[in-house]
Amino acid sequence: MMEEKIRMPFIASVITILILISFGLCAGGEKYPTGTINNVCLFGPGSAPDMFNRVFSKQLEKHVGVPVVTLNKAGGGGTVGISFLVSSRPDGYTVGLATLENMIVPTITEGKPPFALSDLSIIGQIVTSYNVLVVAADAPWKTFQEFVDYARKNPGVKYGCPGIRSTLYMRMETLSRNANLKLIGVPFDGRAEIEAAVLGKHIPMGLMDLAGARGLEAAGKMRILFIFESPAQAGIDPKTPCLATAMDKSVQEKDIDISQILLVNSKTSDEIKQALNRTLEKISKDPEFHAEAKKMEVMVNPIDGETVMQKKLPSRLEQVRAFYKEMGWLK
Amino acid sequence: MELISGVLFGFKVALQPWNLLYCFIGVCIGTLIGVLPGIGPVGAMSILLPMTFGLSPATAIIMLAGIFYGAMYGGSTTSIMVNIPGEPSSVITCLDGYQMARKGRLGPALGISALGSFIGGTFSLIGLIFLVFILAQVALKFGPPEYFSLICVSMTLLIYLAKGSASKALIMILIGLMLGSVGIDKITGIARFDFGSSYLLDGIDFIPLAMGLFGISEVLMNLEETEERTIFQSKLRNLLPNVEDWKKSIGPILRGTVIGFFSGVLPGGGPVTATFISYTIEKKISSNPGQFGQGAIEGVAGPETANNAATGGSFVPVLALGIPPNVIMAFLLGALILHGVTPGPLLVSQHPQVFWGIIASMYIGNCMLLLLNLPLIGFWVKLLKIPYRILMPMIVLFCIIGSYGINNSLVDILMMTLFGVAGYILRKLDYEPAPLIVAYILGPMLEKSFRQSLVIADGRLSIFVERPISAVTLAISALILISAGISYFRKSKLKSREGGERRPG
Amino acid sequence: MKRFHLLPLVFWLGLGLFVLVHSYQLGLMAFNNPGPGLMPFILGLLLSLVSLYLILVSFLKKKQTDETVRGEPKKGLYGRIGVIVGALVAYAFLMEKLGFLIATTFLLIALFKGAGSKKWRAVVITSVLVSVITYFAFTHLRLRLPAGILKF
Repeated sequence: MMEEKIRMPFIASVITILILISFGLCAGGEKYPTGTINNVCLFGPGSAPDMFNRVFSKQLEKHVGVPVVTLNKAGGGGTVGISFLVSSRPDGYTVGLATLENMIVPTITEGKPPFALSDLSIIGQIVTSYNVLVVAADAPWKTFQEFVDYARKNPGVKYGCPGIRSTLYMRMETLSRNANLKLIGVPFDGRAEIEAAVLGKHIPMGLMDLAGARGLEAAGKMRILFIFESPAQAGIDPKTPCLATAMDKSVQEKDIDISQILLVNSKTSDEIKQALNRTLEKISKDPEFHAEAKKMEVMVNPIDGETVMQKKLPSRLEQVRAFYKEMGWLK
Repeated sequence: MELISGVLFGFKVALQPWNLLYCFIGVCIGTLIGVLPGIGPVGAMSILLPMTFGLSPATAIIMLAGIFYGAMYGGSTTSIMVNIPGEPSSVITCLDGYQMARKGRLGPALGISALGSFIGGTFSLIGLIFLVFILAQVALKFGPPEYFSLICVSMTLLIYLAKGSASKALIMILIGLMLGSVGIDKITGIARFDFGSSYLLDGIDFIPLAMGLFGISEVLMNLEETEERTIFQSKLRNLLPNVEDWKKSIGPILRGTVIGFFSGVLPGGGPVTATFISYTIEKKISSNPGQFGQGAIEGVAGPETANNAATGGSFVPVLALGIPPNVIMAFLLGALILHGVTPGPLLVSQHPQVFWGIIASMYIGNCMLLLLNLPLIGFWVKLLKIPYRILMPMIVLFCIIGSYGINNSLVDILMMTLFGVAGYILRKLDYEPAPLIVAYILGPMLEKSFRQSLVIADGRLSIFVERPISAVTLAISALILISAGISYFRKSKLKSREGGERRPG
Repeated sequence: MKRFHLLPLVFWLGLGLFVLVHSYQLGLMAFNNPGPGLMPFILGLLLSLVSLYLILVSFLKKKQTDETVRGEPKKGLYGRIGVIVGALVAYAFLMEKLGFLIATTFLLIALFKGAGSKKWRAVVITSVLVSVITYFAFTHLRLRLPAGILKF
């Protein structure tokens, strides 16, 4: 028989232990996912990546059945967000959306790399943005070829770009150099300023994603001179010159596209990675997602994670590194 | 006339019960967000974006826009009550608004702020309706060289901002400009003053800087007082502005509307530069400029009206061209796109209910906010009567939640504390934080426009005077500088004869 | 009195010189256009010159009428400031590890005490209550606050 004094605490401890055990069993036995997933966004609220993150999170939520919350961790052009992803628990409850460049750049610049590429696993590529070159409606160049000839003869034509460290600038510079266009980029703080500058004739052309250009183009105030991706898929005049039609193979191969990929901590279990992979496949076939993507002016362009990691990533790494070296941004 | 029929149509849309409801929800949430320092309108709008997915585009934008104006109204509340600016456009309101609160004039300060905002909003709406397309074309003529010259004007006005010693204000301006240059240089991509820290790569963020320099430093300064105090130093007087207040405010309000509306049209500063220009102009033309900084009601009426008028003005490029002049408008446009509406010059013809509905709901939103905020004044006054030793930790907590809730960065809290201590030391030594923070906001804009212009002009400095708008604006700033210099010179000659302290002209 | 007010001026001078040197290293010109270092260089130069001027002036002037005089700090003031600042710094480092609830409770306790509340029991109870209420209120509004070591 137990003494009165120790009976209550004894019962309490037994009950506590039982509860803890049952928690442990629960945690072990349930299938992933059972709780909220955090989707890290590398930029602040209101930005284009943030909007995409929210739309995608909604889709993800639909297919996995648990809440998916956008978590903004802005800073350092993606460094803060990815560092957070790498340091969070590899239990599949923290994922992130980024471009390959967001991953690569922090590892090659600014002193000690905050993380290594091997810390990340790519589940898969999801969408690709459409990027266009626009001019004011009454610009002198009626065709892209006219412009190319003009640019080659008159080096130093200015184009507005959304910031000198942006992937878009890298893309245009790559094109300009490979096609010998001798263009000079003028950095602006975002698409709105570029549009205003082009419309106001302060610069002859602007580089931006299609989403912004659409409205002004439809109203006839701006013309899309060139699109990097396929015009038919983008829903604009199929005769618009694009990389495939206006540039030769060597230029096309070196192009840097801007695509969003889904990332997790590489230490995450294979089981969870595969679950996410399957979900991603389902999403890319979901017509609702296609409709949302169309509204956001991005192309659903799924590529399996393994392929991205084996093929796209290494060649992109080389390109980015070479570009940064030229610009003097490598430490 | 087409415009009138459009406006009437807009009201028909905006007054539909559904839209009225969502407008109300929007302004309520916006006010709450505005009062909570740290979470700006953009943060609140992003969190609520998914809520709008099932709604019609007009309704969604009406609600989101309501959050925007609500946050503007709410932001002034915290600036006045506890000297914490939640948004760059609320900084100037802190200067005299908080002083009025300390003198027991919290009610009139909040009241004139709400009324001024309402008048500013209404008049800018009228301006919007009649001038939207013309103004948009005019605004397009402003390119990087013109922006540079405009900001030059603002910078020269900085001289008038200071209350006390001119040399100390100058040092604060220089420090503010330096703080603004921390981070990746936008033109060459090279990092400045980051010392290897990835946090500093993006520069020093406004929220930790402002909350620290104004809010936390105020908290530390108040610790010196006896423990039983409240924020009110003097006895509480009337709850609403009296006739005297009105007489003094009517001028600033009218001027603020004009200044605000036109400032809002141009991309870049918008509401921020509007408040700043309004304040300095009111101070310059006032019959007793010495009152500014001690609780002059003109220093609240003008800027508050200006910043609300600027929100109206910032709709001009959005509705006419689909070009957002600031990040909040950019978000609204993104939301429109998500709802399948393509913003641009065709908006008025393709989606008239969205176009006119937004305009009409602006007015309705402003009305709702006025009706919401005036009765709330009594509540705020009661709140501030709580002893400071209980109030203070709550204020700090809300600052932290506000800042963390959006950026999820604890380094921000560290920075806020650092700037709080720095602000405390500076204020003890009679250095004012206001010129610092305005310089910090304007500096990067100035440098960016300058260097962008030079890239466009291939290095030719003459571009700034070749272009007519830019040349005229530069001439104005030169005139302001010269006039300030002359009056300073005259005053110091006078003072050195009498002996004693120096003040800027 | 004179010496005390020289201190910030010396600090500004040092800062100005530091910025001057650092920005020179960043590069003053880049392809005929101003480089990233140009504006900070000018700022550092101006700051150094202004502070130098003010230091010299204060040595030459006999009377110091510019500075306001502040009284003696109240007893324990710096201690209370230390508590508050220290608590905030600790919070910034530990909040994500300990979780919002625990860290905020401790922060609030420090803040209440720093502001001058005397009764320990009331302070602790209020701190816990406020932390819990705000945590659930904001989580309900879909604002993410870390759970830290109390994972649930």
